This record gives sequence, structure tokens and C-alpha cells, in this order.
Amino acid sequence: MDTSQLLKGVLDLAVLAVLDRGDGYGYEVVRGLRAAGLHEVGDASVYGTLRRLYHAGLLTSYVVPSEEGPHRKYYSLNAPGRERLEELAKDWRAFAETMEGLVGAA
Amino acid sequence: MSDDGTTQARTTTQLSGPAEEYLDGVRAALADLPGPEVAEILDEVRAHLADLTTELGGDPGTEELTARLGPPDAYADELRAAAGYPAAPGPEGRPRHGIARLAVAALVVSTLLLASGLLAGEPGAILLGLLLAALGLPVVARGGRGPASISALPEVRRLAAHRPAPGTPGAMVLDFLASLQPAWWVARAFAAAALVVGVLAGIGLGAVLLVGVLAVPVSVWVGRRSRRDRRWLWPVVPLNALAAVVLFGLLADGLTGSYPSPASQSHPAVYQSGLWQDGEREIRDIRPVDAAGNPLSDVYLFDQDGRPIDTSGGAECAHNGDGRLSTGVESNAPYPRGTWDYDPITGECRHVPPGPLVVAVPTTPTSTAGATAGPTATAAPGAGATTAPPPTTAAAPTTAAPEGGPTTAPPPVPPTR
Repeated sequence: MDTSQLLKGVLDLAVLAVLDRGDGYGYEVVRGLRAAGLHEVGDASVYGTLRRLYHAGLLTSYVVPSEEGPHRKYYSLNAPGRERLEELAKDWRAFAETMEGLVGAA
Repeated sequence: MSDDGTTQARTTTQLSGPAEEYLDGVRAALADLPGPEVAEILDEVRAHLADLTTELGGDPGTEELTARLGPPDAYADELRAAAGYPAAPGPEGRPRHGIARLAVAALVVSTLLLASGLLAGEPGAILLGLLLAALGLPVVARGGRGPASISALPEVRRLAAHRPAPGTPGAMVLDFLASLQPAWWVARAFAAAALVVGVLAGIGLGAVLLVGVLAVPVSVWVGRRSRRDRRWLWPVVPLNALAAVVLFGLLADGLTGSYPSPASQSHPAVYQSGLWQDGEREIRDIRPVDAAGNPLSDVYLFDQDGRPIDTSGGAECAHNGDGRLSTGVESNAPYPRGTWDYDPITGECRHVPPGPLVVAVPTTPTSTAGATAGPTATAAPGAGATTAPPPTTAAAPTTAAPEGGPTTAPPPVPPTR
């Protein structure tokens, strides 16, 4: 099954969940999602999602200069972001339970 | 939120050749987005490419980057979709901006021209507005591409970005206004009816209402249609503006009590019953005299088309409530007829027979009577002077004559023309 379609609906939740473990820059979030088993998520989708959540006021950002390599823009969950994460997580659990009830017997 | 330091980041990182090319590709594909946002994104993409370069062994080729990320265009599209940016304009989007802008300008200007032309009763402006609208409409209506190119205009997009977010008071006001839309559909149908009836057939409240009722289903249909197919908005929005102007005009007219049609503004001469000289002097009776100034009786008068001339229409009291002539008032009687007026004492409508009248007959060189006898004017006895109404005098210094007697001739008074 192509999980990229399923991912679209829950990418916000996934990104917020990764950032809930700790601040991170774009590629760190990509790696966090991959490490969690979401291999099909596109790099550009993660960067775009971060920009959208940032513009929605759910994330704050700060730049950390580095000696070698690029400066990193870190994203961090703020209070509205945490609220949103809880909402989405609740929705997800209810949805997963419903789906499990539906397909569990299959 | 601290977004400082991005400028630094932009200058300190040097990418490898293929990665820099890839970044250029992404930059080009995002060129239509606002500059500061693009700069922010590209900083992150640059860092992303730097990380990938490290991950891929320090010197990846273009193929390796593309294999991992997809081509720059696809990367940009994916980023747009996830970030909620508007989709990229088509390859022809940029050169089309000029045409789209012209089309919008033509529609806006034509709306203004139509509205002001209508208000000022200036047919030239209305015609020019229609012409401009005809020029602008095909561009926006063309095969679905037109409106896309218009919604891709940076200024249109900026407007769209300023829409209030859901839940804010601004959005609630907008939602409320949107819920009034069906009422507007009805209102504009009547505005269109007033416009059409006013222009084609003059004024008639009944006709406006009838055409309005017929126009309502059409208006509602167009409204529902333009909800589904936004392309309809381009012709509908200017027409809406026009309808708003008409409604505004109707309301203003209604408040000031004049005729309920914009057409009344372009035709200020209001219908007046009776016979009028130059629209300001009412002619209530006609007193024919011959070239020598002798009064004539039992004269029938006709206009240039042979239709009888009737002065009785102007006498207010000569009409019943329903507009018909009162008994005793004949619209086909010979002149002079006398007049009808309210009796100052009883208040009843009564017939005032034509009294004695002295008129000055103009002297003309060709007139035999005037040439030989010099200026003459004769006092005429009243045609049927039974009662004694005050003698009526006309024209210049004249003296009222005693009944039946001739008077001295006053100096000739040329007609005041």
C-alpha cells in the first residue's frame, strides 16, 4: 500500500510529535521521521510543513550559527503548538481505534 | 521568534556546483512567491542540500541529488503544497500578466464608466464602457486559463492573502455578508429591470416590478452558477457594481421623491398635462383673431399632423379623480372655449367663458391690413359674454374695452421672440 497518501493527513501530527521530543532543524525532523519508520515522507514536504506550522503560529524558530557547514534554523514547539499536538493526537487515537474496529476482524 | 542571522547563513555556506545548480532551480520555481519568504525557504533548502552533500559522500552529482529529492521543480511543488502556498503559475503565466492586468483594468474602468455614464445620463460614457467590457471579457472568459492567470497576478494574490482568518471578527462579518447573498440576487434583478425598463420604455413602476419578477430566477441562476464556476465572477462583478449604482440611484430618488428610475435623470422634462408654451407657461384657452385683430369664434385647431389641439387637459378641476373630463368639459369644442377653474367662493369647478380681450397683432410688411391701416388692434367683444368675469388683458400696454366697443389702437408690440 502506498502510505504517502495516508501520510498527507497526519504529517502535521508527525512533525509536531518529532518536535515535541526536542527542538530541531529541518533535516533533523526529516531524519526523526525516517528513524520512526516513515520512509516515504518527502524532504520538501517536511520543509513545507514546517513553514506552514511556523506561519500558523504553532512553532517558533531561531538560528544557530555553526563553524563549518550551514547555519541551522531550529524549530521549537510553543504553547499553541503543544495544544494543537494534543488535539491532533486525540483525533488520531479516536480515528485509529475506529479503523481498528473496522478492519480488526479482516 | 527570532529570524535574525539568516543573512549570515546565506553568505557563509558554499555549496558544491551541482547542489548550487539545484538550489537555483528551486529558486526559479519559487520566483512568484514573496521575496522574504523565498529567502527564508532557500536558506533552509541550502542547509538541506549541504546536509545531503555530506550524507552522500561530499560531492554528489546532479543525478544523485535528483534521485534523492526529485527534480528542482518537483521539490518546489512539493514544498508549495505542504506549506500551503499557491500553486505555481503555468509556464505562460508570467507573460500573460500583462494581458490579465489589462483585462482587469478594462473591466474596472468599464464598470466605472457605465456607472458614471448612467448617473450623469451620458450615453457616450455608457457606450464606451460597454465597448471596454466587450474587450476585457473574452480574455477572462477564455477556456479557464484566463481567470487562472488573473488569480496568479501578484496584486490579486496579495489581496487574497489579506482575507481574515476563520474565527476572527472580520471573517464573521464576511460570513454574514455572504449569507445575505440570495437577497442581493433578488435586489439586483430589480435593479436590472429598472435599468432595462427605464432605458427602453421610459418609466413605469409596474413594468419594473413585472420585469424584475421575471429577472429574479435568472439572477439566482447566475448567482448559483458563479458560486460553482468562479469564472462567472469576472462578468458578474462589474455588473453587480452597476446594479449597486442603479439601486443606490433608486434609493436616492426614492428619498428625494422624484421618479423611481435613473432614466428620469437623463430626461428631466416631466410629463405635464395640458398645453404648455416652452414648458413654463400654461395655455388654458386659445383666442384666435384674424390679421386685422378681429376675434374669431368657432375655430377648430389642429397640429402639424392634423390631430386636434386640446387645452382642457391642463385644467386641474376639469378632471375627475380618475383622469376623465368632468361633465360639461368637452375636449373637441371649438375655440375660444373659455377656461375652467375653481370658484373662489364656492370652491366648485366652474366654466369661465372667454372675456373681452385686446391683442396686438404684429405688423408685417406683407400684411395688407397692417400695411395700409397702420398698427391696429381691435377690442373684441366676448364671444358669449353672459356673466361678467374680470376682463383679461394680454400682451403690452392695452386698455380693456367696455363690452362690444372698439378702443384706440395701442402701439404695435412685436412678438417676444
